[in-house]
Amino acid sequence: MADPTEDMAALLALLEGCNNPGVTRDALLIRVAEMPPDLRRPRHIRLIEAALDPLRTCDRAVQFRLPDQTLVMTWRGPALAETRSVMAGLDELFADLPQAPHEILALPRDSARLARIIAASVPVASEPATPARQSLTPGLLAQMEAALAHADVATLLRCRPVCAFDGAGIGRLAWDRQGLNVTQLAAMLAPETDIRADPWLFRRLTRSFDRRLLAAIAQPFELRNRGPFALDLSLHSVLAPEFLRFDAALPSALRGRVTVILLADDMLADPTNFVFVRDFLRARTYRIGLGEPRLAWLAAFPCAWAGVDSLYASAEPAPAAGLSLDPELTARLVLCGVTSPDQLAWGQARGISLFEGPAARPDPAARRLNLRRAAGREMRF
Amino acid sequence: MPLSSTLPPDPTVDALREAERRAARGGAPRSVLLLHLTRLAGIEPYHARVARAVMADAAQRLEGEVLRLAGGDLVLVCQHVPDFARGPDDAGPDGLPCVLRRLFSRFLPADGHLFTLLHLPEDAAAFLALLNAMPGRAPAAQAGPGQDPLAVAGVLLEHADIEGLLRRHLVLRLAATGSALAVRPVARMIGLHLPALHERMAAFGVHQPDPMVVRHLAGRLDLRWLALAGAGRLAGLAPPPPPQGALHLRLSLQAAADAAAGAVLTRLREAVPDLLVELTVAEMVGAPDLADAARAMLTRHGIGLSVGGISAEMLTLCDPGALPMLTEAALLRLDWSAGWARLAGAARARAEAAIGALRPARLVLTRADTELALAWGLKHGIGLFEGRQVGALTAAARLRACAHAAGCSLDQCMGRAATLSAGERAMCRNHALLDRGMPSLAVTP
Repeated sequence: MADPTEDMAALLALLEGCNNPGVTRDALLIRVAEMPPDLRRPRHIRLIEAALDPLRTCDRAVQFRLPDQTLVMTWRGPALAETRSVMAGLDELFADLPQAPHEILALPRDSARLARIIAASVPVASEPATPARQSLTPGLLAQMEAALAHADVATLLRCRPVCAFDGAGIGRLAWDRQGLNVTQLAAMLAPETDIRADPWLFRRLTRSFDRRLLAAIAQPFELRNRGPFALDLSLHSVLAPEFLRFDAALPSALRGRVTVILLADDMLADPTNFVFVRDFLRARTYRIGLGEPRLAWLAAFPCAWAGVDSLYASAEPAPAAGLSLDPELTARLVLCGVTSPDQLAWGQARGISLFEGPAARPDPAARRLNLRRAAGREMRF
Repeated sequence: MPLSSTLPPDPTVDALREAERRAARGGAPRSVLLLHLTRLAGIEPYHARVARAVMADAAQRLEGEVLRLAGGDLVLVCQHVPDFARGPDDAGPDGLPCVLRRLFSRFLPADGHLFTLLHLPEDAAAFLALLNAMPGRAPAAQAGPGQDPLAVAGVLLEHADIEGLLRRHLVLRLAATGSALAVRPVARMIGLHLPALHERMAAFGVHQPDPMVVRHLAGRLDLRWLALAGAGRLAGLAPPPPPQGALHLRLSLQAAADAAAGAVLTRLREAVPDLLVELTVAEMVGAPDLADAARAMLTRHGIGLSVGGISAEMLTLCDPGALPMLTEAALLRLDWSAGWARLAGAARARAEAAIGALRPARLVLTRADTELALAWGLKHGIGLFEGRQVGALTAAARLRACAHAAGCSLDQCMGRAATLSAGERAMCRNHALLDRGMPSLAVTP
């Protein structure tokens, strides 16, 4: 792969050449940095580059990659069929993004704009260079699990508040979503590893994290004076000895006030064990949540069918504008990962009252009040 | 004399005899609940762990204890609870029988009892008879040190014989025509055979492989076999003859989203216009971004989508037909299992309505290993089938038509048709017929 700095210099030279009379180029620009992080992994970049293939046959076709990962493809002369084919491919790839990250520039007309984009792609000098990250492999995962056995995770426990918003827009803490700070824990165990590069090895890793989380919060002082909370667990984690020890340690005051959030794809992959785990959790007085299908998929997961109390759905990616939600469903829905007031407003407009995320924090006064009542009331479905 | 009588006594049985003696001598009356875990099918160690936790909780409340018999059954001995029902069909106020039934009845054979409930001293005779029927202590199984599945995954990725892990099957269209059944092959399905992968892992000492490690392995192995196919080094990839011939490839999500695999699929698509890739619904919901990338890749290359991993149990828990990837799929693959026959009441109605909503015309009934499965599928309007019964039908037709069939058995012909391993295929002397699948035929059901 070419050095982005060299690419940048070459593109600047080309740009300069376009100032000469009669020299023209078209440029296709893809601002990869504007895409969600989950969609700009190497495999996604390969897909984007593959979609550019028709343009590579054009006269003087050159591809550049800028330091901020922006892709630029330049070519000379009319290439209507190729451009149409590439744009169709890109439109399809980016169909789910709120704003398309690609556009076509004509040089020299848009030279000044492209020069600004090139300049903005250079990282600030004071920032340390990001080390190359390796993907998680079975071998690395085994090393991480071995290191995890001795790691102190107590400082990495974190609570994400789930807030109930009333009609006046005041958020009140309903319960906490208890977990480990996965990013920090991974950085501690294997700092130069992209733990999310392989979804299934990452899931295996999160199960190991689940067991450490359960062991950490089963300590008597952790469960003392706790308000209601929720745990995200895989089916296998519920069946592990660590969960049974946690269950045995759970004070009677918390019985009926702890939610276990099971994953929708665990239910699809192993429905028999899902039913077994669900019935076991019910017998032990837990409430059951199902997470985290996309908002657009919620119609496939009626709570009554799965026998769960609540659904946890991620606010990202943004659903289609016309998405309507069944009122019975919205009453049991927690909208997660709410990072903007727009998302909060979108959910409230559809009758959702429970939210989790940086933009859905409890009102400080309501939080104080709620903390005082921690042992008492909480939202019930 | 049965061999089991030579085994040393089970100390738990001794403890139970002592409990009976104490009750008979005027001690506090006791209730005994024996959970017959060993009568259940498909029980894993974690099920037993959960059973013990549930019983231990009851023991704590009822001043009792939970004991484990040598065979694996669990016994709760606790204070006498008169309402703690006498028969296994009564829940009792304590709720333990009810909870055990809810958790474990699905694992119980049709005519079996999940637990036995006795009260001492009045049921002493039945209790002693039960104890006398118990075998002595079986020698403890010497469980070797568990192999690390991650290490085994690494070894398999390096050294697995990829051809031996692949299987191919015909997809047949069956249609009742009068008293006969018209049979026509419409597609060939090729993919990694997960039971074969499990066998390889078991050979390395991993008997309960982590499903996530298996998914990772499947993704990497799919890329390997696709690379072989792209290099023209994989025999037996041909679809059934046109005009109906289609090729279905069962792939992991990671392989379907991979750019290098995409290049191979594009070349295959040029050779086989009717090319479908099968992904599983659980993987697509579990990694939605990857699923989006895979769907975009397939659409760009004009490759159809087939979604599999749909089961009876799944249709009672959710409505997968409302998922967009199932709406847009050309084919859906519904797994046959005995679970269909066990569905009753609202769950059955819900599952049957879901099948209707999925549109039976685009369903392939997979794991159709019995005539019962074929009959069930035809009754529900399903026309496409895959499984052992289909394999047997086609193998029987080949054997009738093959000039080299003398000395070949039905199982051998089925096995050779399903394998892509060059060694096994070499045992057949009629590759043309083997790869064609079957001559046309109609059979009487």
